[in-house]
Amino acid sequence: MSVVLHATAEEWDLDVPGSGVRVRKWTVAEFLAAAEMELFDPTERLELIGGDIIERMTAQDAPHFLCIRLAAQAAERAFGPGHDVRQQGPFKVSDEDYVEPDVLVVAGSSLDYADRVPMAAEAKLVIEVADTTLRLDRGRKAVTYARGGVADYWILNVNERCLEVHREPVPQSDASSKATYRSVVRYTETESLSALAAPQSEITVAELLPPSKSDGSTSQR
Amino acid sequence: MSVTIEPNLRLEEAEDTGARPYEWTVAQFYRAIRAGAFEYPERLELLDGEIIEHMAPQETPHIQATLLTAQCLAKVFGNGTHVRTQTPLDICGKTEPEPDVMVVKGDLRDYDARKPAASDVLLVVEVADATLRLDRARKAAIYARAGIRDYWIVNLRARTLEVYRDLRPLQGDPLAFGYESITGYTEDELVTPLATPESPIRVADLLPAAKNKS
Repeated sequence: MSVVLHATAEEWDLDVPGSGVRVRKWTVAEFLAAAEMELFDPTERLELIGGDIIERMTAQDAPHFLCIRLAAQAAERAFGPGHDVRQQGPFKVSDEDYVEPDVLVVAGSSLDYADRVPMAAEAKLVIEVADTTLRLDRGRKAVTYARGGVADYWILNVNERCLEVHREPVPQSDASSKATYRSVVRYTETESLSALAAPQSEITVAELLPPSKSDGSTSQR
Repeated sequence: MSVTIEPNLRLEEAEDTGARPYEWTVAQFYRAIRAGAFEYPERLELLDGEIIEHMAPQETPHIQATLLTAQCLAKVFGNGTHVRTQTPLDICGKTEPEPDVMVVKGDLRDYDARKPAASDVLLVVEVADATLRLDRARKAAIYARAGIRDYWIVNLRARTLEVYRDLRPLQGDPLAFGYESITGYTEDELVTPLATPESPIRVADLLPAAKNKS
């Protein structure tokens, strides 16, 4: 008789080849059609990442929004005329990726995107402001942007007051690997750098961050 | 000076505090199906808010085991019950599995206007070919949480029956239950449903004939 069997934690994961099932993946077209059918609550903040619908759980707060404004303003100064600096607008990175980066710089004017959404090849710079979403931004978001070939992807790490600069995207080599960035460099708040597509202008990390408190501690959320 | 750090390739776990995979409710899932959001809705099951897609069409062994099990259980359970195959079990807001076989209290007609709920169910059986991982882990957790006292998996590849019983609360989550005893039976052995203690069943009666036997 009796073989006592135990389900182990690793058996929980569904997306395993040969398991007979997978979590259903969405294309951008299906995702947008579902939104048109009013299947989602308009207050839900959704993105499509690698075919999975991901929901942002934390509400935006003042420090996060300030950093987005500061980053957008710094990008406008650095890139100058002939570029559109977009905040939390739609960005179609691939047929399975539809995201809303905190800051996206594209060539052209706002009017050029009157009836279409920017695509990966048009991105001059992507900046994500990360307080609670750091793991997402370093992980699946980075894979998504690398897969799309976004050449310059920055994460503003608000809690540690530094900038993580991802460059040299490498596409996945086969079905089992993931796209990645070959170079990931951290800049502290006193350091400065230039965007790859705006090499003539310097941006200091400090100008992207809220001022630190006079006693040296960082702002509380 | 700037410091080079290793690219962090590890994808975030579901417990990332800033974002999580989207969770569908049963009602929303049905709205989506009716609105035509899915090309193949018949392949889908909603488990814990996730839409799961069954990748391959059913093969003969799975079909046969499902029908053989349904036929055998109908004889054993008899009047006052009926057997359903691959129809939804109404559990709660974000989960609606479709067990391969369910023995349900009452006549078929009693359910003209509603789906069976866990309290109506006397036995759930899943037939597992490739889906063994799913059935042992996610499905077992779902059925335990719903209070299904008798849950079986027909393991087609090993030609065994796995019996999951004895619900016990899981540590750390007042709403979660698991099965304390999980026992395997080979095809020559007998197994008896909890609800029909007088009627043992030969495991072999639930399985299609082995391929290599003449």
